Amino acid sequence: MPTDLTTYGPSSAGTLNFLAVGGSGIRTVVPLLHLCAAGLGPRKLHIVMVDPDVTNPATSNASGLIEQYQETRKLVGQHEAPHTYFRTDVTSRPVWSPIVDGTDKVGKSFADRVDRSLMDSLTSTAGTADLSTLCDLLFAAKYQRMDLSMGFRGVPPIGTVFMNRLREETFFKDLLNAASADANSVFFAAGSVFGGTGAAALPVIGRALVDGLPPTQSRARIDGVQSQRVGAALLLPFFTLPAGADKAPDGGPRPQAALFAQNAAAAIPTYVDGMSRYGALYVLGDDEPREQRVNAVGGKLQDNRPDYIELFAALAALDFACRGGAGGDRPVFFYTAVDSGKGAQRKSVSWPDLPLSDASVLRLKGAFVAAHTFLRLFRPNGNAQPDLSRLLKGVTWVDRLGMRSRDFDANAAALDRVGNYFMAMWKWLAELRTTQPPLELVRAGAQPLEVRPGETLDGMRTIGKVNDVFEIMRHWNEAAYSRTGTGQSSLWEVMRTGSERFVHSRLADAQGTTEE
Amino acid sequence: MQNPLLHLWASAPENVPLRCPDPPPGVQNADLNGFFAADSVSAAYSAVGYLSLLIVVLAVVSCYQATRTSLGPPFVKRWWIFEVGSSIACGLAALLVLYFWPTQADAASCQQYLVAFRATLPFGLILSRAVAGFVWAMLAFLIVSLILTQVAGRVPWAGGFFHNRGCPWPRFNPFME
Repeated sequence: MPTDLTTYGPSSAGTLNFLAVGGSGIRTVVPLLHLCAAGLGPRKLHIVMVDPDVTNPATSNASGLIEQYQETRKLVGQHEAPHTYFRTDVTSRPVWSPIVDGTDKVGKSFADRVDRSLMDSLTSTAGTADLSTLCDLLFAAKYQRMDLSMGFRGVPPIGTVFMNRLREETFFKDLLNAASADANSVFFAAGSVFGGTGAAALPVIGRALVDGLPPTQSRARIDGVQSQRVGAALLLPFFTLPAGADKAPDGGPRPQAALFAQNAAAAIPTYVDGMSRYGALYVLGDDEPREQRVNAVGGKLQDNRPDYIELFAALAALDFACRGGAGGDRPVFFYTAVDSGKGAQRKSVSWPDLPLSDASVLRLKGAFVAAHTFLRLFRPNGNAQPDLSRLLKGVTWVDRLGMRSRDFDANAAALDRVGNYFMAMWKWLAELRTTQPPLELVRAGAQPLEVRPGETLDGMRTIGKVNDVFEIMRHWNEAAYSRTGTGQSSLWEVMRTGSERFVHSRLADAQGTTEE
Repeated sequence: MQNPLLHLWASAPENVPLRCPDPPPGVQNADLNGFFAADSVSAAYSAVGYLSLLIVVLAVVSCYQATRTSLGPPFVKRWWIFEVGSSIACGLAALLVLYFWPTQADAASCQQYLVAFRATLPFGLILSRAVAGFVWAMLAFLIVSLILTQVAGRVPWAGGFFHNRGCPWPRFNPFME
């Protein structure tokens, strides 16, 4: 049964610690933030990104959006608004690169990072010949030459060597300590099991979280978290790569799309038999993987497009958080089948395919309508609206909130932030329409001003013609009447409930049944 | 009805002069100046007044209720269209009603006609009342709008009066777009 993300119960009121692992995992941060902005997130979200490739656009995009979300939330003053947009208090830490160990090593190759030369010098002084021989035996020369700042390139054994450093990281100890203090907090990791970083990190993270940290000379043992509080989204091969050169510029290996399925099949038993300690697993994939535009090893050139799978991974994280965890000693699996057809018959993924309750779908639809309304009136296409105070003069919901239209000029900075955030959301929705299969939730193929009010949502039609955004505001007026709160803190709640009322009463699905 | 609230400066006049019809051939020339029957003139003006009131009330209700929008430039434009439209309608109504109303001459005010007969009011009088009706409707539309938005428009059940309660006050500018 789909979870209702609009009502996080008391048992799931703790922090959702979200560990985004590798390029694919980090790409799920964007939809997760947008869902939080839409009012579907938990009260607190802590994001930890793990990737050696810190220059990857996925990382910079996610980091930028986190900052944008935090700034927006701060300015719109949502600290006391439990049910509305930007309700989630999002915190994060800088991307953790497992290949950075705090020493002054400058080389980026695998050999440099594991002190391969030190092994040789120790051979003659301390009789450690076995160590260097073992290293050469396990890792061929091409792997030892790999520039690790470009990621682990589909070679999980390389990643595993470094990923165990997680246990020594201060932030990881802090996470475990915070988990023991907040019994309602849950942990959720997302990453691919067919590439390099995600495949290497996911099992390590699960075990480290549940097993805890053994005592050392400087500290006592730190207990782990119950496995039912630790979940993961495993991304199966949902994309392929176009043919490229056999070798990367540094002479190292490239990710081999032909091995993705094989890698995933080899990795799955680790999760099925519980060795990775996760209490719940959400396994996501597509039977017709989409080919990426470029086959870049890593770095700034690896700018893959968003994919609907990433949204489903974010939904999995919220589902897990809303449940307050799931599973036990043996992992439970959650399945959602999306039938998008095959080949030429392939159709888009749309509203009915989302594994969400009716109330959650309504919340999401209302959020997109509100964002579109905002981008038509308050900040047209994300730009300034010099006439806003005149346009809102005498408007009923403004009056009911005890505000004056000129208050909107006084709060221009907050509105600018919200406008910028909603534009980022709009662009993300537009990009998702171009994927294969397309995710068609919002008609974001054009600029917001070019999309008529009432025609925001894909697969929906209006009951009666909607001529302008002021028709939507009738429902905001009613929402404002039902509220006792005033001021800007109530504005977003009025916008939310009013937009949901509009969706409920004025939109019907394209097949003809009204929205319920 | 003499109520200036309905007729402004053009209340129904008393002793409206009337040019008596020419006498039949062979009859000695008589006095051609008579008067309209005051009660028939008053009835015509009352009809105009009540009709204008009805027009304005219907226009206000239609303006606010027969739309799905809420306050914004489109509604302000709509309000002004209804304002001017109802004024024109009231002016025209005054013209037509007064012109076609069966006003009568006062009995015996024309020497050769001892009974009342049908007579049309002078056009200058009708035009004056039509202009007054136009101006009256402008004011009445504004006042009725104000009353209904500020009193009835406090609750959502009032429909358009609630959703557009900011027009005409404080939103009155027809030129803002």
